[in-house]
Amino acid sequence: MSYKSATYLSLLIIASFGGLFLYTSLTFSRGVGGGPVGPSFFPIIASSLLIGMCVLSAFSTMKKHKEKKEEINILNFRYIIFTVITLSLFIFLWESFGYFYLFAFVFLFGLFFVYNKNEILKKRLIFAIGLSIIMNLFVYFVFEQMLNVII
Amino acid sequence: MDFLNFDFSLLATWEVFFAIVLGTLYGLLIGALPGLGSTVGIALLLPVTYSMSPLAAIIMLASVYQAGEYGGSISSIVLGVPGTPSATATVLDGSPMAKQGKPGKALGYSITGAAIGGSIGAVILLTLSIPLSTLAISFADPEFFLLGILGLVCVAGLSSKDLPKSIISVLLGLMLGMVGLDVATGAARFTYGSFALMDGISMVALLIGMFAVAEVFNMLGEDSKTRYVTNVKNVKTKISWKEFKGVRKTYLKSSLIGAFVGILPGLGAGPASWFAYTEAKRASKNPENFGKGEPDGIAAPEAANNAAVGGALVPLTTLGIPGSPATAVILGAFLIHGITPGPNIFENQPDLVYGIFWGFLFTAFAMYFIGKYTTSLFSRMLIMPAYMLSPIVLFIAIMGVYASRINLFDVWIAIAVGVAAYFLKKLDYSLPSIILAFILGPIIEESLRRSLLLSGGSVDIFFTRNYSLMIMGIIGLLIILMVLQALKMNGNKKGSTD
Repeated sequence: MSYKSATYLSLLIIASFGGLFLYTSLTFSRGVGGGPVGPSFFPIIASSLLIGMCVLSAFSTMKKHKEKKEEINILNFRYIIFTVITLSLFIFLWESFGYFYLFAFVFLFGLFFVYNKNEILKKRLIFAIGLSIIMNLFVYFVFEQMLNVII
Repeated sequence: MDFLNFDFSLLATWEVFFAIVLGTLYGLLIGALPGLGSTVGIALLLPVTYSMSPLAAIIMLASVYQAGEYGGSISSIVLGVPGTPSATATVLDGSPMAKQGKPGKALGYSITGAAIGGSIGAVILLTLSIPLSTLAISFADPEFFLLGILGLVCVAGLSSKDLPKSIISVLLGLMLGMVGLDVATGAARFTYGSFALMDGISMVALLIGMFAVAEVFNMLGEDSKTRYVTNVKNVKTKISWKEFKGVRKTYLKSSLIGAFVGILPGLGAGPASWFAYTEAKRASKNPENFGKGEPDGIAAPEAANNAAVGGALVPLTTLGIPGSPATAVILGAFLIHGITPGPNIFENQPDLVYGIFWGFLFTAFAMYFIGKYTTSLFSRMLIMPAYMLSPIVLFIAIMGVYASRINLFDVWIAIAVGVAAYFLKKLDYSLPSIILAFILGPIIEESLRRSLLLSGGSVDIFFTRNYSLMIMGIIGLLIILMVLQALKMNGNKKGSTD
């Protein structure tokens, strides 16, 4: 995707976000207990300015990138997708069933194994298992034992 | 000059020595783990201090605070993930320098700055705590509002690549800061019925999402065998005398900025580091090098955020007003030991209060020596190839987010923010602007609302106070200087293409 198109898309999303905030802000009370400024004051100003700046930025982008065609490069996009999916799955399973160390081991194993494209299969497996165990032990000793974080 | 009459034998005990050493080591670890920070570290250590003497207890907690602020920069430099919110500015130049194969040098600039900033903060604490506390109480809501605006102007101006996008980033941060319950009225804003959002968006989740999760996605874009450090000599935490001379003015100026900002309750090390970074960039002969591993870009925030620790202890000890969440916990330690900080403490317990101040100075030296030899262990992580480092960074960061509030909703926020931040960064939006606006937004809104309440809705309150006028003058001057600098850079670009 070109830089310009991606910028326009981002500005549209951000402006929509601003629009949603502005619409929601209009439902807040204006001032409570005689106060001159209520909970809606700042959100209305910030979201209005945001929408205005998005329009300004769109014009600025149009002017600046008239001649050059820049592309947005997202390298190894499938690894990013894989990471987001496995991370979300890990958090979902941990939240739903507990068993943190089991799911953390599987999650880490998946990442270490998939990211390491370079070694032979046996080495990749050993690395992934070993590092996953080490990371789990690190979390156990540092977070659970030392810092008393309830996992 | 009462501090010179202090009996130093009160500090020359094994209890105080272990308090400093253990507090420093613990603070370094807590600060280096993304998402935890000094406040959590101090709170976790509080029960340990029950059996200690008041002097050793307070010194230990102050050591954790001091070392935690430096510890945040370890994660910023080595992993590109701010360990503490105040270490966010350090990422901008610390991480690029580390990725150029010089993590030891980056950590060297950082620890030297932290020690100098901490020492200057301690000297200010010793010599000027009473007059500065008078200044601190002169600053009221109008001044805090304007200081917040100054902070936003500073950070919006930092991103000179695309100013409209920088301003959009500031506004996004302000809006994210408004999610949750309105402090003045208790009205739920932008929670859309979610109980989890009543408390607002977690700053740790935002920080970790923006810098850790997004950074891992960036790492995935590189060759998985990439090692950022190939020469083990480059992990030693040190700078040469020549390198020190190159940044000594920045250290001094930033320490003074940090100490002053730290004195003001509510601001703290985060804004202090950004004010110092902005000033360092403005005053630099090579501002275009900032963000690419510029030494002043590491020296400034690190000196400032450690000096701010000393500054934050001024209102705590002299007025009993905690200037930050960390000092609020330290206030708890005072009360547990039956000590009430405030104006009378200098008359009633001079040995204790000056013992704390001198002990705080010694913690800066201890942090330098302990940090110098332990932080190279952290920088060895960069010898690992990217395929090992990325999952480790991601996992520790996620655990840090969870540990901050024991809430998995924060982890979901971090993931969503990470994905968004990855794309925002590619499109030249300013992530530091979002974070600082998120931090300053509530301060700005509350102080504006209180100011207008006090003045009955009239904005004259900002024009009839001397300190307010002074800050407005600084804001105006800064805007003019930024515009002139931008015009100069545009002129240079046109000249080079002609």
